[in-house]
Amino acid sequence: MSLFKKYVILITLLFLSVSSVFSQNKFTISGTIKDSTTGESIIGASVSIAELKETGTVSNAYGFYSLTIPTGKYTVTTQVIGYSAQSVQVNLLQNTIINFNLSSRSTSLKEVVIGAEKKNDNITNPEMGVEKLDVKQIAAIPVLFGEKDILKTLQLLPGIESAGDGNSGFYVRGGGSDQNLILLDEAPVYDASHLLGFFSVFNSDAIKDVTVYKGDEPAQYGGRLSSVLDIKMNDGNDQNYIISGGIGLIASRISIEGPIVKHKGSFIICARRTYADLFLKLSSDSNLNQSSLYFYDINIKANYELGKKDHLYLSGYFGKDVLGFGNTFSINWGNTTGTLRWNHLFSDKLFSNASFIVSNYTDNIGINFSGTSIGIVSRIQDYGFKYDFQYYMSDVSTLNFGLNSTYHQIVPGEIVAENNSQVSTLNLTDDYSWENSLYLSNILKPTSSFSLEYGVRLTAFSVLGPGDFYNYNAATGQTLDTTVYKSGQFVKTYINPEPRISASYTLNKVSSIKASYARNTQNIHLLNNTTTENPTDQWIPSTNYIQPEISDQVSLGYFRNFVDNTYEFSIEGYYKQVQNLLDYRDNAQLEYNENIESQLLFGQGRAYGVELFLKKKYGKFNGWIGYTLSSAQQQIAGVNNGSWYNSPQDRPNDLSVVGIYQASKKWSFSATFVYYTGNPVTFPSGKYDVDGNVYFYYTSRNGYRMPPYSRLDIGATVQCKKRKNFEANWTFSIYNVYDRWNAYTITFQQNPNNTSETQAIQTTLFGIIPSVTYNFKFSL
Amino acid sequence: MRISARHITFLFAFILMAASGLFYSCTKVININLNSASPLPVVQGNINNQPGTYAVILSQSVNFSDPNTFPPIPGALVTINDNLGNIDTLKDSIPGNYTGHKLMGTPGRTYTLSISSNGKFYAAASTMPQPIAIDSLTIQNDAFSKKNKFVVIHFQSPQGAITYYHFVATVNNVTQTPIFAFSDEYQLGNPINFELRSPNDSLKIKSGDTVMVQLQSTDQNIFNYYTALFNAGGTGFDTAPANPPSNISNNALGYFSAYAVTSKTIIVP
Repeated sequence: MSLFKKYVILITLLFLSVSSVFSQNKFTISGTIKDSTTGESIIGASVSIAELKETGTVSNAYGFYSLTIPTGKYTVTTQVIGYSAQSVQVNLLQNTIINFNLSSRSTSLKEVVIGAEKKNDNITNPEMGVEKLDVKQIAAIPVLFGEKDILKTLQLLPGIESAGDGNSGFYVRGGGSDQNLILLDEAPVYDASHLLGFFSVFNSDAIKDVTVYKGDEPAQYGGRLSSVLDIKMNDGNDQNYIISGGIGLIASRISIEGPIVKHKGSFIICARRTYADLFLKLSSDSNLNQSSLYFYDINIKANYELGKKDHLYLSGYFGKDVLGFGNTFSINWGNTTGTLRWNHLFSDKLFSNASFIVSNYTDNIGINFSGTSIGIVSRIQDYGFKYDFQYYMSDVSTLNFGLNSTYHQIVPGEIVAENNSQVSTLNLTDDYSWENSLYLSNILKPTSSFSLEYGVRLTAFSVLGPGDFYNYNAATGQTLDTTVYKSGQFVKTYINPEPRISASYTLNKVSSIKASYARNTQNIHLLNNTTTENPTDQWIPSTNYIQPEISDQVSLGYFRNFVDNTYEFSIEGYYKQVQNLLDYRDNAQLEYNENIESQLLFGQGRAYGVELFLKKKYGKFNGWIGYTLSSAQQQIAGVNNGSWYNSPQDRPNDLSVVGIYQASKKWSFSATFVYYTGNPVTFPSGKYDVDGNVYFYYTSRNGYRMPPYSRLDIGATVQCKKRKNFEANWTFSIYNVYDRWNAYTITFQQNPNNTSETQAIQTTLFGIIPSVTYNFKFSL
Repeated sequence: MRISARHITFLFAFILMAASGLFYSCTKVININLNSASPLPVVQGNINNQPGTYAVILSQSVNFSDPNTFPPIPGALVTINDNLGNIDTLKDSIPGNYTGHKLMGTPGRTYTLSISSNGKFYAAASTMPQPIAIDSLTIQNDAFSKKNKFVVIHFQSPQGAITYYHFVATVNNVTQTPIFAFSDEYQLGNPINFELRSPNDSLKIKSGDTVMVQLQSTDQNIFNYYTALFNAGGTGFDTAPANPPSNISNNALGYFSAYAVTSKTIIVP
């Protein structure tokens, strides 16, 4: 079907839904939903009208909601998990503003609150393939070294799989780590890991909401094939000053938040630092005691209500990792992001947000010897503008539309040296590109049992000069020709429409089925052909030679709640197809290579699987079990003779079990168990001798598997006696309780004790690790 | 001191090895079931511009769990010819070790190796470049651990086309196994000081040692082969391993190199 026809059908559907607007006298109820104690806006709270069973909406990313219904007397109720529901009576004779301030309520209280209905919006929400993390709940799940970590907790959900120990990267539905778009208050974060992957860059004290879309995100998101991880920072308490933090074995953190003007504006600053290198100073080895190994991060946010219709937000993130060996070399890397956002209400029905975004990821290598010091810098920098609108058109339809424009600059490698003028000729060419998108989508709820979200995102990715652009022989990697472009010249523009549609049909109050289809395009690719991620892995844009990667994913799911919405169960199946998938030549030279594109090979990929999920949300004991059965393969010309082979992310079985038990007001316990099949890997199938050394012979890429991974963690939190303005607790945890030596890498070598044989050596990163953290909170 | 692209590569290797060494980790030997592959022929063929004997060694690959004895392949028909029609049939007086001396290796000519063994046929071609003169050898001390010394070879890169080098070191008449492959692509026409060092520091020299360094100028295929072989030795990157690009047809492993050689000797002070 041609593009034009698709647009005609879309516009027609929109008109059909709009026609119901003009039939009666209607008014709009709108407002903002906030936490009554902290002033934080509440995202995703449902707003319903008792008298109109088919009407309802959900608060947006800023806590705003809007509902247009006929004149009349109504009971407006809002509810969201973790808070007591609230209802307001209204006689709707004109557009009315109703703001809600909800009190938080623990889901573990035994007594049943009269009138409180447990949420079933996992049944009614048309969005599928979405996981929302309740940040308060993850506070009870300690992970490595006792530090709470959003990314690691997300990997306990089905369809989202850990890339392995010591790796913050994750695979969603068989896609690689770079196929996940990680947004922190709308700014992209390019490397979400600290210390080579042991921790993520997200300090959970600063985070309010975490939502993951597993490939079928709505049209306002785009740019990566497999997932969108949308992370929103806390705004800061707008009523009281709070100082909170924690002191742990490896890292400590502190947060300061408070009002700028009570109820109108607030700020929050969170900072965190590790001090593992203090232990190195105790070493007698002069190389070790002059070494450094630490990271820090700082989250800052301020917001202010300029008027009834305008609200300004400023967010920033600064993080850095430093690794230094003696005083001879060092490497540091980190992200910096900044977002300035302006919410403006054009009317009770039209909400808008304009964002100005900067994001920078830089890594620096420095070396100091024989009186020379040189540094190598590489960086990716984004400048972006987004303008998003939500038009709450009628009681059955909400339109989302907007635009997004981002300018990317990538410096793959630049040398800074003293005492050496020849070195600048070794700088690699910078990459410039400009990514523009427009989107339009509609959330339609024509009847109480059927809802539909459909739309399209149109992306134009332009490759810009200045620079030398090459064409290569795909089979040999030889350069065929070079074209030189000047600054600002357009080398090539790729235009891709990305349709998105998801539908849900409620079978009854406790079950529904959902289906979805989405197309995603990715124009920024991370090159990495090692078994572990490195901070020096290079980002590269699509070029005249590298085409955008395109994925099409369909999914189908059945959702069922049990025991009055206490248990949620779902089974979701998906099938994904990828075009222009990237892989690498045998013996690819990716490090500091001007002609890095010559090392790439292209082909296609496919992934499919089934995700089973059972979750208990209420009661003293809650938790979940997630199990994913899946397969991911690829076929690349030039690899394994062009036959289909296992993708590095192929994970046939992945099981996670999480349990949290609130034993009393003072004590809570948690346990996590994970098991998954090892990643595909290339191992030798033979060996031979050349020039006096033994070398290994490989028959196929990814033809073997690492051994399976399993681990049990347990934790306990004990609350100290609460005083007037002070709360504290101790968290104890044991990581890898039964001390299983999971394989991090397996390498092959000659036996040093017997050179007539070769052996396999397994390296494990973490055995059993106990940890303790003291957390505190002052209110002023 | 001149910084080269090779330093950059070393930088990455050092940093990442040091970084992984700083973390707590445990290693152990494990038993692992690896598939068996049918044995493949391995060719180590060399011919150079010096008068005398040249050799082609044929052996077989074995399974990973087998001991490191690689059976020779005797009784094969091995010939080398140049592009001017001169041909020599090599003989294995020691099984698997085929030698000849009839051809006079000449820079500029293309040599073709042909092997017929067990009903299979393998061929490789290599063009012998011009020899490169060595200006001198010097000994320097390692900046990281002052006790270690290493050899530096000084020579002049010719202008014009890229030259590919393979350095082989002999210490006290024992040929050393570390691989040194180099391309002067970014330093054409300049004097070059190449340091014979590898990240795993296996070329160890001490005072009183006699070190001889051979400068072999090779064709690009052999440079690509030795570069891949060097990476396969483990530079700390953990890159997805693959077989090095052999210039021999029909899935044989190994290489056939026609190279021009110059050498110099130094005694470590």
